[in-house]
Amino acid sequence: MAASGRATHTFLILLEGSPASEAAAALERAGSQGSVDVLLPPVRALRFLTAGGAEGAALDEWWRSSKPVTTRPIVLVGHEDGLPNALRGLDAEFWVAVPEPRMLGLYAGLANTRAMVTSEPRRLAEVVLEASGVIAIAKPAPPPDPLQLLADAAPSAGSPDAPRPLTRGAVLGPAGGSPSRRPGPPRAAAAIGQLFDRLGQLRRPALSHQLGQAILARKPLVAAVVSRKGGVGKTASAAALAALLGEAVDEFGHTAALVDANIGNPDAWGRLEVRGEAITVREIVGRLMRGEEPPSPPYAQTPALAVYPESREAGDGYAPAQVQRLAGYLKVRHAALVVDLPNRLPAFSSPDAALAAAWIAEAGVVVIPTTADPAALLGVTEYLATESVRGKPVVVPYIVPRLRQIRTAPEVHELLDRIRSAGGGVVEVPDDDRATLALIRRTAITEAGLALRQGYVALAARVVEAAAPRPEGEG
Amino acid sequence: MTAGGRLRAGPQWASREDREDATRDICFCLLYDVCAWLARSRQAVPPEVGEYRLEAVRQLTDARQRLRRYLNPALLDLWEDALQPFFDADASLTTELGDLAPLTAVGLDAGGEVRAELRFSEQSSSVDRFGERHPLPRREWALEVWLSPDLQRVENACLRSLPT
Repeated sequence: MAASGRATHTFLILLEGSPASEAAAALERAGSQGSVDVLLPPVRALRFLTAGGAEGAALDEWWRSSKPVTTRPIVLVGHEDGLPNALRGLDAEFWVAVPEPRMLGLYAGLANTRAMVTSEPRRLAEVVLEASGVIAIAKPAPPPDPLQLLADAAPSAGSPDAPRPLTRGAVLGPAGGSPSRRPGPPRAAAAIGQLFDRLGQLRRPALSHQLGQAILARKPLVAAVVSRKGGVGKTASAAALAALLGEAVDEFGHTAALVDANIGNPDAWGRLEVRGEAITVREIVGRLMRGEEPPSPPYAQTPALAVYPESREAGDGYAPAQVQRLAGYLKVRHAALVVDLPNRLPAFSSPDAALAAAWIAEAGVVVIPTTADPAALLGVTEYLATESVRGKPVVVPYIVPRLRQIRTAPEVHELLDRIRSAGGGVVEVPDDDRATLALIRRTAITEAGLALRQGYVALAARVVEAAAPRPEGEG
Repeated sequence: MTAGGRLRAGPQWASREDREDATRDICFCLLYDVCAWLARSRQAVPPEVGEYRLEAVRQLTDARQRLRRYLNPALLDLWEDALQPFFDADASLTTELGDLAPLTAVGLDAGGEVRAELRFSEQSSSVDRFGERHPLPRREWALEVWLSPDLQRVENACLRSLPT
């Protein structure tokens, strides 16, 4: 077992079964010049470290009878539950073979331990010998690229089963263009989950050609998205509506715009991935009032959607003339504007309320999102009764609750009926946590899920339908 | 209808929609299991991965065993041979996939063989036996998949590199 003479290295093998003898053989071969002692105790693995009673006494006896250990032992052991804690603080150098990469982290905090993924004791022994300076092994090359290996493994072209290139005809849905890489934690399962969230696109309903035409017939279509109450999905609805209107007019070479007029809580930034430096609404208004031409706005990932975010700095409201000037500027540049307004009833009692009133005056359609919360539903009826909104077409995206008892509650239906009878066109949008997930991941809410997208597509269609077409001869 | 229900329903599928769903489901499972195999994961498919619809195999902890249940064994053997240098190096792949994975398919209406193509981008790292990461370049791939008429089995598949 032990080579003659004074060993420079002592290896204690706690691997079990045949791996132990394989590792011992590899170590002894390398230590043929007497530099290596290899110890193979009768009890191995975690039990060697934790044994007590008669077993512990037998091990103590074995240790005393073995060749004296004159150097800090190097221990080879396989992973098992409880091992990381058992190694903590021990005066030895441990090398642990782990079966899976994710287990490497279990040993990352132990100064006396190194772990490697392997199921081959001979390889563990070689690596330990090399690391200990007993033998020199050429530094291993980086592992081969497995995806390329798979790509190279395609059946030969002559084989009758050989894959052939797909034709692009009769395909399902849009090809979607070049996928963009999303930086994120390198966890395979999570990444795959994210990837396949997107596979809903297989049946992603394409926007109809007619929707784009209808928007252009109403150009400039201005939708004011308002609410009496917070937490009803107002900004999410505005972002989704703007994205879909942009998507619809894209093929005609036009654009839509999302305007953040939520001066108390500007948050259109977070709903869409905006490229480039963004000029804020406040800066644009300032330049317009000075007679200067504002620079181009940033565009969201949907290339036909311009985003005009509000300054994050607290600021004063806007005078009605400033809103008119801004609206006039935007109307000639975009086929559709979606304006996200503060949670205020339109009035001239506060800057927020005055801003809402000024934008509603510019709008061709008012959008008032609501949940099933009676306070939110009542807020819609309040909004419908205001002087500013009266006479304007109103569309109400209703976030349909997941709980059936709420969905079917008579009180909820009664309030929805009141909204309908007051002129609000109700469009159901599912309550889907993926809308929030889209916000967290900074991805488009319209791509967060098939049902969600369908709900927003229905909303966009209703909004366009509600807005009065431009009289013939204009435009 | 669940995927399991769809798969049991087999040839009498009424709608193209069901066949689209089944195609998407099995392509998901295939890519998931290949990635799990390369990651050397030894876990059952976690419950939160709801898109994995092959309920009969999701409890298997070995991705290769899961693959064996629905992938042409000759192809799995071919892939296994091809990947031997990777596994011999005790390496694993940490996969970082792109946001979008457009899927196209032909043959859904014919009731015969369905061919699907899943395009995805990735920038992964191979991880050596000491946990050292070796980043790989960003690449785009097309995973072409040939499915049996009942959409229960992957008869053939190949991974093709796309120009970036």
